[in-house]
Order: sequence, then structure tokens, then C-alpha cells
Amino acid sequence: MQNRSGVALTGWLLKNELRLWWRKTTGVKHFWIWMVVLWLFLAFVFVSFWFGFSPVRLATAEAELPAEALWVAAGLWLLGFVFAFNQSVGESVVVLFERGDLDLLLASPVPGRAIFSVRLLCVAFCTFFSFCMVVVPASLLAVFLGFSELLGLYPTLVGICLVTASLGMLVTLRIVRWVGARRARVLVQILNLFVSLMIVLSFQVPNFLLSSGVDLSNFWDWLQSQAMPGSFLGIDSWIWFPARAMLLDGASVGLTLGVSSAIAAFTVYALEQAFVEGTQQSVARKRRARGGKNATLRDGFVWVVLTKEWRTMRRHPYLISQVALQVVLVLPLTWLLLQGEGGSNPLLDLGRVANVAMPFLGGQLAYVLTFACLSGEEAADLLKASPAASAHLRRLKQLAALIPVWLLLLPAIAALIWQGYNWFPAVVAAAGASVGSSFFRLWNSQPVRAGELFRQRKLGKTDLLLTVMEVSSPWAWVSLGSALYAGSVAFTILSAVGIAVLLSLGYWRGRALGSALHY
Amino acid sequence: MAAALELRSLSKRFGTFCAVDQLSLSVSPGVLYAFLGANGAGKTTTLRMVAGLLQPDGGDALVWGSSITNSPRKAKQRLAYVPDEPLLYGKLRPMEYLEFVAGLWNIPASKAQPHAQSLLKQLGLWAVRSDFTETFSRGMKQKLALAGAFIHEPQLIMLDEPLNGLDAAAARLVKTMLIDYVRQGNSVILTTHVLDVAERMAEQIGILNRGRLIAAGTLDDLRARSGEAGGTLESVFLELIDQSDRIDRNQAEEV
Repeated sequence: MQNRSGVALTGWLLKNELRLWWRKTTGVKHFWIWMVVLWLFLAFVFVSFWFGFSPVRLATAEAELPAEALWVAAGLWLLGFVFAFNQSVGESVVVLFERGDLDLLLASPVPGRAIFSVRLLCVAFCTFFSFCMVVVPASLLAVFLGFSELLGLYPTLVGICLVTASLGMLVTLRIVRWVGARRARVLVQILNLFVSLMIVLSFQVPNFLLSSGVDLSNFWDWLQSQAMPGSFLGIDSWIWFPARAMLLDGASVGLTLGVSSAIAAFTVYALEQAFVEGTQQSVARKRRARGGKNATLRDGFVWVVLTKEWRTMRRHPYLISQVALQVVLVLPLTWLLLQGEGGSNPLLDLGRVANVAMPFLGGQLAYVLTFACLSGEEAADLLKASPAASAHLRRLKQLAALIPVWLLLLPAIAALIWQGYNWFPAVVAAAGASVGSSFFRLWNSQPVRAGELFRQRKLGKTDLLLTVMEVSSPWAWVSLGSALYAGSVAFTILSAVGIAVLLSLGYWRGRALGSALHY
Repeated sequence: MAAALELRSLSKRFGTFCAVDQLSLSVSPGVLYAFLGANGAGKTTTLRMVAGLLQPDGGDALVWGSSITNSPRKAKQRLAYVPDEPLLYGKLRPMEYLEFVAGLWNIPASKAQPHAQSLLKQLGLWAVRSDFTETFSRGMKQKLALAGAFIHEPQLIMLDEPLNGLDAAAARLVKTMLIDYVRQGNSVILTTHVLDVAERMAEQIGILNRGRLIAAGTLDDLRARSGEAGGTLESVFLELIDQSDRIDRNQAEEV
């Protein structure tokens, strides 16, 4: 090994990394079927475009992209960067901390720089591969339409992946030092949720400002002056070089690749230094939790089980983020209900809106919390070895998941009652949807390790029929709530029958499959 | 007086593999029983069946006279099982964990509270009572799992490799606790690969090989059986396993 050059060593390590990545990727259930379906779909889309857009192709054969395409490219670059960064952080947690093979590698004669270079390239490659699903068909289409300069997508993507992999690894290092390796992934998910929410809310900012009568003319004037050609933000400004690289501008492509490579090289150096200084040891240090010094034990089986579930929930950052997300969605609804705008605006019947929003929110939150309580049980053997009846324990766990959901919906229900809306349909629909979701989750539960609680649920281990019913259940309750609200007897009966059929089928299927939970 | 544990032809198969084969034995009250065997001999499977975590394919296990298949709640009420991987909740503190375990066994808080505090102090976990168990070392987790087993004062404790991950002082402490517990008339069954520990602690020893009990009794009984008079448990154990394997081979050749 000592005779090998650095490049050969890096290649050898990269081969190993890619092998691990390939096995993980192809290990997903029905991977090859999905791949065939995807490529058939892409081929269909491409052939459809070829024949369906022949006139467009002929029309655009000699056309050139307008200068304003740069703004679109800049927007796409920003969107891609956010997505790639999020993915890079997730991958970085795995390759730097979760996989646990760095000690083995760093103790070997392989230079640390080669090891971290390969890790970085691997993270960048994973991101690049996930982008390819979109970029490959898009670039083929661009070539087909005669815009071959859009092949600049590829070097731009390489640059984005290298930069986000670098930043992702450095940020991961900080986050892991701060909250520990296990929490880092969850924190990233929370940040991702938060960023998504902010993006959605940011679209409402102009509406809000306009409706509030704020004078934005000065700001717009300033922005326009900055965007004039020759200005700092002008279309010919150097700062847009990453977007210009997307349009295959030679100098910009060179600059993009050069800058991203330099950032990657610096990251490799920083990572090596950080690990030599003992990052792994420092993240393994114990953090002391506050409180609990004078804990008094509580009495009663029911109370003890409920308390244990709530403690686990409120200390689980991902669950907190889920609840917080629902709160963010419930608050505007409650605020609108308290304003009583439904009465003044016949187009916005808030009673009807509540009949749709509350069952969905309740169902979704009940699903997440029941999933965490039932599938995420960390000491299933302890429960089974105890004299407590399994059925009783599961019902209590469901109750522990449902009580926070109902408490969360309570302000909206109170507002409905306060404003004199017909609150009964919304309450029935919300309660039914939450309880229904909870039972479908029970019947469709699989044990999941606590650390992988929100990673494995999408791997298709659950029953397809039950999953379909689980998704349909909130719709059925929305239908019942709306029918009750509208006073339609026929639709009320129809919805109730639909719900009864769904629940009966779910119960039957759950019984037929048997419980996979170990308690 | 009923035996603390009585196994009657207990059997378990996993597909074609016979993990436990017609296992019968009896553990008297006030006895520390060591269950020995090579990896895959069926020790953990047996304990898991007794704890009600696995359904036996045949036979029964009686805990202080209560059948684990016919009256599991009654049997479990008098039983504690500590697996080799501690069963803890990462997001709970030690006292919260003990509160939960006491609740599962319906122990009143007034009784569990002083007991929990005393156990945590005794096991050296009092100083870390504010920490979540996810921050604990392997040994600390093992000690807390042990406290969870003691909190409901079972009459039979089954421990799978209880000394795994414990430092010398903690291992000594745990051994002392178990011996004291047995002296109070309770029974302890433990599996271990550290034969010195079994030799020094256990009054009765059972040796499993390929799911069958090939020898049981005191160390002297086993010595006599193996023909290793004055031998250590290690030499006795290896000889008995060897004898059992030879018999199996001969039977296989005859077939």
C-alpha cells in the first residue's frame, strides 16, 4: 500500500465508497423495478416531446437564449444549492460519524487527506446522482430544442455538489459537536422543515406588505438601479458567474470549477485537522441534562405509561418539529376564526374550511405521534416481559399520541364555538380522523429502531393495502364532516358507510397480518 | 414448596434449527444458578422463553409454580429479565426509567421511591440521575437495567451476560448484590462466558450444548461426571462439551 501513489489510493478508496453507496442504493425494495419504470417514463416523455414539439424544435433551432435567461438560471442555481446542501448534510452525518469506520481508516497507513477527499467526493457524487434524475432529461430536452449551451448544467452541478458537500461537511462537524451525531440528522430535518416553511411564507410577504399599505416604491427603485447593466447586481456583473456557467460561458465554467475545487481542498484540510485534534472524542463527551435531581415517582400504571410516552415525545426534536409545524398551520386558522371573517365574506366559509383543515391536521399529527409511540418503542422486550397486558399498553400508547393532537385542535374548536359556527361536524371529523389514523397506524405498524424512526418508514415495509386505506381515511372523515356541515343526509350516510368499510377492512387486514410489534 | 423455576421439556425451533430441545431442569429457591454453553447453545433462547418473550414450541416453564404459557401475568409478576443489551429509553432519566418499570409491575410509588433512590446510590448512578440514559456508557446502562430488575423485587431474576461492559469495581458490586439477593431466599439465573465468575458465584450449574442440557448440578457433581476431579470449571466445561460432541458424532455415524 505504501508504494501506491496518492491518486491511486484515492481511486481505490473511492471505489470502495462507491461500492457501499451502490449497495445501499440498490438495496431499496424493488429498486430495479422502479428504475425500469422511471426510464420507461423518461423515454416516453422524450419521444412525446420529439414528436409533439417538432414545430417548436424547428422554430427554436436557430434561436438563442434571451439575456434574461440568466435570472432563471440564477433562480435554479439557488434552488439546487438549497436542495443539495440539505442532502449533503444528511450524507455527511453518515460518512463522518454514523458509519463508524473512520477510526479504522485513520489508523491505517492511508493518508488522512486521501480519506477525507474520498469522503467529500462521495458526498458530492451522491448529491450529483440524485440531481441526475432531473438534470439528464432536462438537458436532453434542451439539446433537442437546440439550446446546447444548457449543457452547462453539468459543470454547474459539479460545482454545486462540490461546494455543498464541502459546506455540508463543515456544518455537520459544527452541528455534531454541538448536539451530537444522533441528533444532527434530526436537527437538519428540522432546519429543512423550517426553511421550507419560510419559503412558503416568503411568497406571502409581498401580499402582506401590499395589503398593509406599506410604501415599497423606494425599495423597488433602489433594486432597479442596482440591477442596471454595469451595476453591482447588473446582468453583466461578475457575481452571477455560477448562473452564467449554467449557460456554458467558458470563463464562468472555469471559475465555477476552480472555486469549488479550492473550497473542497480547503474542506479536506479542515476535516483532517479537526479529526486529528480529536473531534470524535469531543462529540462522544457526555452532555448533562438539566433538572430531574429531585424526581418524585408517580403512582398508577396508566399515568406512568402516559407520562413516559409524553416525556419521550417532548424530548424528541423531530416530533417537536412536527407538532410545531401543525401549530404553525393551526394558528392562522384559529386567528381567522377568531376574526369571524366568514360572516363578512361569503366566498370564505370558515366553517367549511375548518371541516377540511382540522381533520387533515389531526389525522397527520396523530399518524406521526402514534407511529413514534408504537413503532419507536425502545424497550419492547421490557414491556413484553412485564405483567402488563399488551393490548392495554398499545391503547395507552395510542391515547398518549392522541391527547396532544386534541389539545392542539382545542383552540380552533373553541374559536368555532365562540363565533357561533356549526362546530359539531368539524369536531366529529377531526376526532374521527385522528382516531382513525391512530388505528390504521396500529394495524400497519412495524418496529423501527429509535435512531431510524423517520428514515425507515418510507422504505415500503408496511402493507400496501393498509397504507392506501390509511391515506384514504382522513379524506373520508373530511367528507363526513362536510356532509354534516352542509346538512346533506345522503352524503352523510354515504360517508359514514365509507368510513365503516375502511375501518372494517383495516381491522380485518390488520388481524390477518398479525402484529409485527414485539410487545 | 414450588421450585423458583421449573422447565418441563421446553423446546423451540427456528425453521429446521432446533435451538432448545426438550429441556427440563429445576432451580430451587435461594439458589444462584449459572447457565453455561457455547455460543448458539440455546441459553438466551431458553431465558427468553421463560421471560415470555418467545413462545415455546413445546413444554412449559413454571415460575414459582405459575406457568408462563397458561398464566403469564402471574408468572411475570415474580420475574425479572435483564438481557445482554440493556433495555432502556434514551430520552428518560434514571429515576423516570425506574418509575416506568415500577408502574409496569404495579408497584406503589411510596414503595418504589425509596427503593429507586437506594438502588441508584448503591449502583453509583445517583450522581448522574439528571442525565438522559442515552449519554450513559455501556456499564452504566447495564447497572441501570439491573436497578430496573430489582425495583419490583422479583423472586427470580434472570440475567443474560450481566457482567458485560462492567469495570472491575462495578462487576464486584453486582456480584455482591446478586449473592445478597439470593441469601434473602430469592433465585438468580445467569448466563456467562466468564467461567471463573460462575465457578465462584454459582451453587448450581447447568451446561447446555446444541439446545440440550448435558449436565447439571454443583461443581463437584460436574467434576465427577466429567472425570476431571479437582479440575477448574473451565476444564470440566470443555470436557463435558467434548464428551457430548463425541456422543453426537458417534450417533450420527451409526445413523
